[in-house]
Amino acid sequence: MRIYTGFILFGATMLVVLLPLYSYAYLNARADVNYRDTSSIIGGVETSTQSFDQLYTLGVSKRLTNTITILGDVRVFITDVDGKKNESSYPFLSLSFNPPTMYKLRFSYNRNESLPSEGDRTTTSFMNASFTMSQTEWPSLGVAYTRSTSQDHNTPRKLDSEDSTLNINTSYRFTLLDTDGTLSYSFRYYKVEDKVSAARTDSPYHTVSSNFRRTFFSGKLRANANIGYSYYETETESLGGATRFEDEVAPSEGLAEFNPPDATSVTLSQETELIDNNRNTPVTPEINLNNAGWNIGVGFMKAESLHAIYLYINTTVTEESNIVGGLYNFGWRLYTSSDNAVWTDRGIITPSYNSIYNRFEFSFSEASARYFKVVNTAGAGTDAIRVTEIEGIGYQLTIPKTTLETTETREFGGMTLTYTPSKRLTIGARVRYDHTLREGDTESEYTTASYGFNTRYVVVPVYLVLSGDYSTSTVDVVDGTNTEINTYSLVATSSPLPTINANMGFRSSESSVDGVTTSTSDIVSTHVSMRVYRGVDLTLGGSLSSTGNPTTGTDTDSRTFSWNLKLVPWSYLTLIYDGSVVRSTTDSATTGSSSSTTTQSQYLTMSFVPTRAVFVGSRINIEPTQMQNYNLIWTPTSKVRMSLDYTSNPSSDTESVGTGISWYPVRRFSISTDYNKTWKDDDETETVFVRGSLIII
Amino acid sequence: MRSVGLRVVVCVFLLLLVTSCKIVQERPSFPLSKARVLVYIHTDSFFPPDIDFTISKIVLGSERGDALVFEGSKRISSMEVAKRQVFVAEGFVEPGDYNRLVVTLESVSIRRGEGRSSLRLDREDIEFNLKHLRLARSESTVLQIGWNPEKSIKKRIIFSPAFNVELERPSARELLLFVSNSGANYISVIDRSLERIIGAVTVGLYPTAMAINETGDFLYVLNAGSNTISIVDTAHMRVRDTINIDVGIEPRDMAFMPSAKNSLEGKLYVTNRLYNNVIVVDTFTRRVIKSIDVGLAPSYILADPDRKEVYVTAEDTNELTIVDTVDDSVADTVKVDSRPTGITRYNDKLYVFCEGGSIIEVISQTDRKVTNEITLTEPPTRGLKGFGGRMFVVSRREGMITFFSSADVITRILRLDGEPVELATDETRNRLYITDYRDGELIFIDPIGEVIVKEIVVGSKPYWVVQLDK
Repeated sequence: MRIYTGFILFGATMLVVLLPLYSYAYLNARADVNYRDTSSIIGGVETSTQSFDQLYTLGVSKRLTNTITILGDVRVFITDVDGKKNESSYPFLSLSFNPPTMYKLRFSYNRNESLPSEGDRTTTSFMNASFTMSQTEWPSLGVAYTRSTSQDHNTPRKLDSEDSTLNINTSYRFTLLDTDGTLSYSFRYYKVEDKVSAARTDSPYHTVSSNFRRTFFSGKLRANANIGYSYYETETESLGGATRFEDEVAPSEGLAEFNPPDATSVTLSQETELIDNNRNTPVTPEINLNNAGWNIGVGFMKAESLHAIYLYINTTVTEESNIVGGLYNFGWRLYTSSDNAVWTDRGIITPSYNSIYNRFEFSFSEASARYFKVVNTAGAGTDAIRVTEIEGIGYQLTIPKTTLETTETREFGGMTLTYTPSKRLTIGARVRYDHTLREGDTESEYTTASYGFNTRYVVVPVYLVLSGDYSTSTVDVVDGTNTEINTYSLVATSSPLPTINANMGFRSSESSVDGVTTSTSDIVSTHVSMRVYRGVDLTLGGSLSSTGNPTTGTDTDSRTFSWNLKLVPWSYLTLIYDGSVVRSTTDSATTGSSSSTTTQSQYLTMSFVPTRAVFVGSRINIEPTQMQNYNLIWTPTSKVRMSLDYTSNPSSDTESVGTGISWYPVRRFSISTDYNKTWKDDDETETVFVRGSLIII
Repeated sequence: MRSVGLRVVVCVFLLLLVTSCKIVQERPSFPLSKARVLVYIHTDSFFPPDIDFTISKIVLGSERGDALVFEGSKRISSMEVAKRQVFVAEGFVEPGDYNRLVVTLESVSIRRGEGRSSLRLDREDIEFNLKHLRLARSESTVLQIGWNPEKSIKKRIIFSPAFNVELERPSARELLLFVSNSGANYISVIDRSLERIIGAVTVGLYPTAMAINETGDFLYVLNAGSNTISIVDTAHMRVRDTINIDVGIEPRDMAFMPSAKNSLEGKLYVTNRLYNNVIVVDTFTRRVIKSIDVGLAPSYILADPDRKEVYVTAEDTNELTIVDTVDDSVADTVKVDSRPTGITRYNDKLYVFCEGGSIIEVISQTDRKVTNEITLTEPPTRGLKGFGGRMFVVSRREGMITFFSSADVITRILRLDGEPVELATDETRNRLYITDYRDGELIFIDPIGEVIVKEIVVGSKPYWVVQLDK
C-alpha cells in the first residue's frame, strides 16, 4: 500500500509542480504485464509455476527554459510468483542544463524502493552531478560526482552502505612542430563505507598520459608514441569483532581503617599507598593481617562493575607457605558502598591465593558500586603479613581495528613506426614497456617489455603478396617467474583470378618460463576460395600444426581440412554446406604412448524467403552431434507476426516445438503470446508466456 | 572529502545555472517535432539498360494539402541501382495521414552505342496512391521505390518509369540488421536477404551502441545524446519503452547479459567514458541498479553469457577490466598495450585490439593472462571472429580491413576508403557488414572472396551494426 501511495503522491506532485504555466511538458504513462505458466513432468513428478509481473510507469519531461530540462518518472513493479508478492517503486528525477556549446551541467537522482512480501524493505539511491566542457580550443574538463546508498529499515540495520566517487578528467590536444599530441590527466577518488561492519575503503587514483603522432618524409614514415604514469592508493579499514577481557579498573582512592566498631557504618581513611602501583612495598602505616578487623578498600570516580579484588601482600616465605597450604582462615567478608559511609555486607568471601603475584584473589558475582572493601574478621600468622596494594578487577570491551594499505605505481610507454617507402613495401616496428610496483599489504613488482617487427611486400600486385612479422614479449615478475613469448609468421597471398583467392602461411610461437621452454607451436595453413559459378561459392582450407609442451613432454601434430559450399540457385534461396575434419596425434615422451583422435563436423543451413512475408529457415547438424531445427515466420500484415519452430536433438533424445503470435493492432497497444513444449522420453515441460503493453498517454 | 567534493559540485552548478539562463541551447540539426521520411530506390534487375534520370521533387499528399519531402536534383542511374539500393532523399514533414506520393522527374537519357540519347517523359509527375500512411511526431519511415528499368521504355523514345512504392513493413526479424546513426536520432533496419534498407526507427539523440536480448525480441539502443536507452520491438520495428540512465557522461558502448539461458530479461552494461565507470541497468525494472568503477576512459565492452563476465577496455590506463556479473564486481584487471579500443572472443580466448600499439593481445579467459600477440601494420580499432575462427579487423584511422585465416595468419589487407568502426557477420549468407562512420554507409563484404560487394547509404555517422539471427 505504501508503494501505491508513494506512486500516486509522486506522480501528482510532478503534475502539479511541472505542468502549469509552461509549454513543452510531455506526459507519458504506460503499463506492461507479463504472465508465464510453466508446468513440467520430470520423473513422474508434476510441478507447476506461475508468475505475473506488472510494471506501471508515469513520466513527465519539461523544458523550464531554453537551456534547462527537467524530467522525472516513477515506475511501480509488482511481481507475483506462486502467490509470493514483491512490490518495488523506482522514482527518478533528472535536471540537465545545456547552455552554450562550451559546457553542460547535469544532475540526477534515482531511488529504488523494494518491498518483498517476505523479507526486509530496502532502499537504494543514486545521485549524480556532472560538469563537462567539450574540447575545442581549450582543454576539455569533466568533473563528476556520484553517490549511491543501500539501506534496509531494520533496527539495527543489516544493510547500510554508501559509495561515492569523484572523477576529474582533463585533456588537451595540440599540434606542435607538425606533431599531433594529446595530454591527459585523470583523477578519481573512490570511497566505500559499510556502516554495519564498520569497514571503509578510500582509493585515490591519478593518471597522466600523453600520445604523440607525426609523419615524416611526406607521410612515408608514421610515428606514434605514448607515455604514461599512474598512481593508485587504497586504504581499507575494518573493525573486527568486539572482545571482552579482564582488566584493572582505574581507582581514585585507596582506603583503609582498622577495626571500626561497625563495619557497615564507617568512613574509611585515605591510604594512597594502596593504589600507588607498588606491589612490593608495604603501605605505611602498615596493614598487618596478623590482626583482625582491617577494612581495606578501593574507591572510584563513579560506580564501576567489578567481579574480583586483588589484595597484594608482603610476607615471609614461611607465612606464604602457610597461606598457600590453607592453614589460615582470615574470615574475609565483602562490602560495597556508594558513599564510603554506609556499607552493604555482601557476605563471607573465600579468596584464592596466587603465589606468583603474592596476592589474595577475591572473586564474586559482578557487582556495581563506587566503593568496595574486604574485611578480615580474624587475624592469623606469626610473621607480619603486610598489605602492599589493592586492585579492583572488571571487564573491558574492545573493538580492534585492522588497516590495510596498498599503493601501486605504474609507468608505461611505447612507440610504433611504420615506414612505407613505396606502395609495395610496408615495414613496421614497435616497442612497449610497462612496469608496475605494488607496495603495502600486498607486494609485487613486474615488468612487461615487448618489441616486434612486421613487413608486407607486394611482389606482383594481386598475384603475389608476401608478409611477415616477428614479436617477442617478456613479463618479468620480481621474485617470481620470467615469462617470454616469441612469435613469427610468413604469409604468401595470391588472387590469380577475380574469382579465386588463395593464401599460404606459416606461423610459429614459443613460450618459456624462467628460460625453460614450456610450449611451442608451428602452424602451416592454406586457404583457397573461389566463385565456381554465379551462385556457387566454394571455400577450401587446410592447416598443419605442431604444438609441443616440453614441460609435460607431449607433442601434438594436427591436420585440419575445412570446406564451405554456398549455393544460391535463386535469389530467395540460400543453401550452405559447411564442414571440417581435424586429425590429431599426440605423443608423450614421458609415458612413451601415442594417441590419435579424429573430429568431424558438418552442417547444412537453408534460408528460403519467397516473399517479404514468409521466411523459412533450417539448420541440420550432421556431426559431431545430430540436431535438426526448422522455423517458419509469417507476417501476413505489418501488424501481425506468427512463428513456428521445431527442434529435434537425437543426441540428447529431446524434441521441442514452439509457436508464437505477436499483434500490434494500434500504436498504443501490443500483445504477444508464446507456447513452447519440450519432451524427452516421458519427461516434458510446457511454457505459456503472454505479454501485453499499453501506452496510456 | 565527500562533503567537500559535493559542496564544490553544487556551488559550481548553481553559479553556472544563475549566470547562463539566457544563452541559447545547442540544438540538433534536424527538427524533433516533425516526421522523418527516407526515400530509397532499388531494382531486382541484374542487367538493366543504362538509363539515367533526375528526381527534382518528392511530395507527400494528404487531404489537408501537400508536404514537401525533397526539392533539388538527385541523379539516378540504373547501373548504380542494379548494384545496390540508392538513397534518394531525406525530408521532414508534419505529422498526419498521407494518401499520395508524387515524384517529379526530368532529364532522362539512355545509353545507345557509344553515346547517350534523351528520352521523352510521358509525364513529369509520377503519382502513387498510398494505402494509409500515418506519420507520427518525430517518427521515421522508409519509402522504397522499386524500379523495373526493362519495362520503363516505350516505343524506344518514351520513358514511362515502371515504379512501385513500398511502404515500410517489417521483415522476419531473423533476417534483420540494425545500424545506429550516431549523427541523427534514428536507426536503420536492413533486410539481409534483400540487402536493402526496409525501415527506420526513431530513438533518442545520437544513438551509438546496440545490444539484442537473448530471445531476439528486444533491441536496446544507447542514445548518447539524451542519456537514455530505447527498447525497440524487433518484430514490429517500434520503440516500446525508454530507460533513463542519467548517471554518466559520454556513455559509449553497451553489452547485454541475459539473466538465464533463453531469458527475455537481463542486465545492460554501459560504459561511461568520462565517469570512468560502467553502469548496470536491469531490463526487468528498467532502472540503473549499480555502478562499477573500472579503468580510466572505458571504451568497449563485451559480454560472455557462458562465463557470466563482461570485459571492459580502458584506453587511458591500457588495461582490460574483467567484471563478474553475478555480483557486479571487478574480478580482475589485465594490463595490455596502448589504447585498447575493441575486444572479441573465440574458443576461450579474448582478442584485445590495441590501437596505440598496432597489436592484438590474445588473452586466455581461464588464466586471464596474455598468451600471444599478433602484430599489425595498421592500428586495429575493432574486430570479430567468425566463419570457423577467421578474424576480421578494421582500422578506423587508416580506413582498412585486415582478413585473417582461422590460424590467425593475415590473408589480405583491403582499403575501405572511409572510417570503418563496427562489424557484424551473417554466416548463412556469407556476409560481413561494416559501418563507415565518415561516409554514412554500410559496407557489405564477401569474406570468402575478401572483396567489397556493395555500399549503401544509411544515415549520418553510422556507428554500430548488429544482426539478429536464430
